[in-house]
Amino acid sequence: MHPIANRLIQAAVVFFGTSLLVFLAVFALPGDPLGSLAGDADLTDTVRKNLEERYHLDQPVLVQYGLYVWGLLQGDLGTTVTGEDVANIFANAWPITVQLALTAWIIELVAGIALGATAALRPGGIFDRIATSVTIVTLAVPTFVLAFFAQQVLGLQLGLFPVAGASAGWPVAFVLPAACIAALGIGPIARLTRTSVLQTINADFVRTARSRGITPQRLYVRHVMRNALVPVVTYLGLDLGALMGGAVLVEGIFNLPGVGRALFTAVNTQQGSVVVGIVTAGVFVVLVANVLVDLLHRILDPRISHV
Amino acid sequence: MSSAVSSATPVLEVESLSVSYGSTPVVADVSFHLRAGEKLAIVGESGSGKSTLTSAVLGLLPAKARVAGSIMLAGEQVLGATEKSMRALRGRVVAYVPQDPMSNLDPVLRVGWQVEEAGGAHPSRGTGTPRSRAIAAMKRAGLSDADERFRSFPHELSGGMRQRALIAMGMINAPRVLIADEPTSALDVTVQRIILDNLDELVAESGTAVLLVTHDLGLAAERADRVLVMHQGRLVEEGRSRDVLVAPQATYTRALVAAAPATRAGSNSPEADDSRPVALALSHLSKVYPARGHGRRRTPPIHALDDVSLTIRRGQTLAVVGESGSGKSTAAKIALKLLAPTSGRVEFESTDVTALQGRELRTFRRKVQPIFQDPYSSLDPMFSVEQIIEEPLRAFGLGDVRRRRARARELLDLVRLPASILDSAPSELSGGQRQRVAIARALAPEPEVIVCDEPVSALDVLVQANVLDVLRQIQGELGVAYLFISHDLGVVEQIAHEVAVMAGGRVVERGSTRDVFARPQAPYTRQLLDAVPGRALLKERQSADDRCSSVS
Repeated sequence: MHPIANRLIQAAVVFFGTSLLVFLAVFALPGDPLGSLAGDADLTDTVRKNLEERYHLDQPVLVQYGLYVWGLLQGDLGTTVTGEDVANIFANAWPITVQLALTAWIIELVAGIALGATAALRPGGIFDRIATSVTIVTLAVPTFVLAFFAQQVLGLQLGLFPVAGASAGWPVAFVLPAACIAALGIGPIARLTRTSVLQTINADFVRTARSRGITPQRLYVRHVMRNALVPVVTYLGLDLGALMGGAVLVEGIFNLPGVGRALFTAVNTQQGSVVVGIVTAGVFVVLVANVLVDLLHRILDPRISHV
Repeated sequence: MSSAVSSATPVLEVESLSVSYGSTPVVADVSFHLRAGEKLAIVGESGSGKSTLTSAVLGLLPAKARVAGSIMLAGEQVLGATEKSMRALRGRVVAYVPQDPMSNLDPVLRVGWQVEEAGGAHPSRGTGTPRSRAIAAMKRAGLSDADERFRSFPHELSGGMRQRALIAMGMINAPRVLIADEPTSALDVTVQRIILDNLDELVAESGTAVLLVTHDLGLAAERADRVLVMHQGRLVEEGRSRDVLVAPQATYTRALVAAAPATRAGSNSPEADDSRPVALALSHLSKVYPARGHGRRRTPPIHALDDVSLTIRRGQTLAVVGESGSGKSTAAKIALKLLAPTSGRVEFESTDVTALQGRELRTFRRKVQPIFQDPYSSLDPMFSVEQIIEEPLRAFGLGDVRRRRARARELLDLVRLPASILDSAPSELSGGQRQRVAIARALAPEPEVIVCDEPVSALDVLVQANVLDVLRQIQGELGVAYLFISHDLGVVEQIAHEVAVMAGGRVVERGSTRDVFARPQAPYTRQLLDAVPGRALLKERQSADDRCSSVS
């Protein structure tokens, strides 16, 4: 089988597997969505029976899952028990989270690689030592501490960034929360880049290229960085999932109306189809990102297509 | 080019060059000249300082190296030159062809692109587009299908093709001096010969002087006009190739010549004895690896072994010789039962072992032990020598703590190592010592057969001779049989009673070592024998020696 076809089948299996797990987990939760929806009002047996039939709550879980997937394949994400279209919730929440995560991704990518590559130019030099200390600090500080701190100092006291909400639009409203999410990734990326560059710089082929009279700039960019970035790209792909997780947390602190908040609300009000939809969509995003990284990997490192 | 004048001008003058790291001198007071168009070989073992010397000439020594003396390249001083002025010299005045074709090409860039880049470093040195220059250089270096190969990545090429690409990169700017650092030591002898012939033509065309760095005295003598012998950072001998080989002056050179496999071998290879009982018999072995890949990339099934039968007699050595891909290592793995054959049988003391399991398999494992090629990776770096040698004893539950310790000392004595190294870690030992520890480990559970996969090819010539002596002496004392896998005919000639020559997964010739080497039947065997560098010269020297000794 072709490796890329293989990869896509794997992705499909993972996608349906995780969505089933999430579905089971959500519906195994104790509680009564119809009851909590009705609140204090009395729910007559006929109404309850009607609603149960409408939302297939009387069917076994696996059948419910089957119906859900069937709907999904037809582009129907389902409705909440309050009658709201899940697709609608998504349309409002996802763009916020995607913007946030991608901004964070770009920040950690640029900052991490630049930091690592510069530090590797002079190992043990002053920049290297400062960069190493900074990366340790960013690793040690939890995201929410950093987020509150940034909000307080840069947002409230200095007034450089909006304190909360997405109303200021991209990029102003997103830079600060995205930087807080990215902080955790910059350290590992800088470290990985530094190590990888140092390994490559001492490789035989670099020395041999130097013996041909190739300029140092060209050597560093075309030979060293090109080779050193292969493992960094892998890491960046894997990290996209972690960034989504970080986004969910930081959205709460900065009051951004993204999927994080929607998910939080949905779990609290037991709106199973929203929870399943959000989580599966998250899984989908991570899977697509990983397939893309795989393809990029093949382009960066021609040896891989033969494995 | 007016040869009379140019051949007199030195293009490279090294005067009292010394290089040291900290207080350790690596190169000490070395002086020599290389004239235009001349071919000069520097011969030495690992650690002799020959690689440091080439780095110094290229101006590629690490910053922490302390250097004294002078290196003049086409009239310009290399020592203390700025990086910028060195860059102008590199590739144009002095070029470099490195040793290992696997690690010296950028793995993620197309080969042709890399050749083009080498040409682009000095664009004034040629005519035509960069691409056409690169293709022409690749063709001259022997890549006849350069137009297709231009877009290949290094991993898609064979070792020989990669080495040709590296030669193309070195020669594209027609340099005045080419430093060839063991350019073919990673390749099979027949490929080595073709590539060196081609390189000879190339440098003759462009009038390039060659500094050939090698550990192989035979190769040096065959390919160079003059030979310099380096030992522990010093030049111990200098002279015309033939003279150095046939009448070496320095003690060290004499030892080197005497240890060269082609010199040691010959009439003294051990005599085969058909009457001995069979220890290990491989019969009608085949190993097929199924087809892989898709579409254009689909590879056909590989017949690694095709109906191979080998018989190893008790107390004797059967050598299996062949080049890479001949199937010799596959045969060794099957003999060790580390790999299952597609069909065929392996019989140890008349029982078929292909289906053995459990206790019987463990007995077989005890009786058939391996020694691997690379003593640097076959010893656990976290173990002490004692733990390494005792491990098989513990594994098979042989003896108690005291007896095992005594046995370890006894085994070290057998491989001529002092008991004082029992507590050392492998990293504290030299390559030769490590390989002898590996031999001691293989001998520990008293095996009948030892499968040696290229046991001396990672070692220097003098150390090689020493390890082979140890192996031979052990065979004499303990009567153990060896299945000896090697690509080196000289080594095989010294140690083997019988030899089987393999090519393309088949045995193309077999017989007693004396017969096969004296009267090779298969054309492939003859080709293999002819390709051994300096064999003719060394044989000549040996017969001269024999005459001397018979007179006196």
